[in-house]
Amino acid sequence: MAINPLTGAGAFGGGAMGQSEAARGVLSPREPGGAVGGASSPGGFDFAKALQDALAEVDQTQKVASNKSLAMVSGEDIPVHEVMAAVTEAEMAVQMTTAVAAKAIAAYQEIWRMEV
Amino acid sequence: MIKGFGILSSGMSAQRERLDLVGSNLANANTTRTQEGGPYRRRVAIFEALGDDQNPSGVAVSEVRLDQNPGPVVYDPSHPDADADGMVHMPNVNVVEEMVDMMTASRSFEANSQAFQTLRDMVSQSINLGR
Repeated sequence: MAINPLTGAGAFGGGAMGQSEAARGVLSPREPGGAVGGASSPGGFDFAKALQDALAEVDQTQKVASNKSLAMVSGEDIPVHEVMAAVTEAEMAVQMTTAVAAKAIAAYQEIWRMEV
Repeated sequence: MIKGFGILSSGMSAQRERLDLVGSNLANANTTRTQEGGPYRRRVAIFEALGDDQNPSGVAVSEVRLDQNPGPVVYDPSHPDADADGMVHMPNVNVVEEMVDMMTASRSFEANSQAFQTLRDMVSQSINLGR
């Protein structure tokens, strides 16, 4: 498949992470003695890890879809509905990922706009 | 990621395989010679549920059975496969029955594909909840 929306989504997620890292650096000098610049919640839910795992799963559905599409266009006897099912599943996975990423970024921006 | 897509896809695959057998039966409705000897025997797909009670994961064609019902025997001494009495053993394929099977397979496929689209819409709507 020529279009790979995943790389776009992946870059998106990675960018979001990078921004939050940068935000910590920017925020901490403003509040000397504050806990804002501290490490990410120890023992808590690791959002970056969860996002990475989810992206790996989305990547997997993409690979299945592109393998099946490739098999079909190269003339293998693979049922059309199987290809379409794989492509639909991959499409849904990407849409879900972008929706979650957009939500995460919106939340970050919401906090960024907060007046201190 | 979303199990329903796999399940419904397996349903469509199973119906497709069934239609392949209907095709084979129709194509051989008048076949009197086979590798095993004797007339062609009608093929029937036997479906098997995949996964366990709590985790259904679809359906598969577990085996292809040969219909053991006797086929019609017609008198045609000029036929090369006629026996000493001039009787020819014909396949036990009933074309009308195959048409019914074909429609059932087609409708079952349609049902699976409709459910697939519904699931797709449901997932889409769920994603749109957050927008």
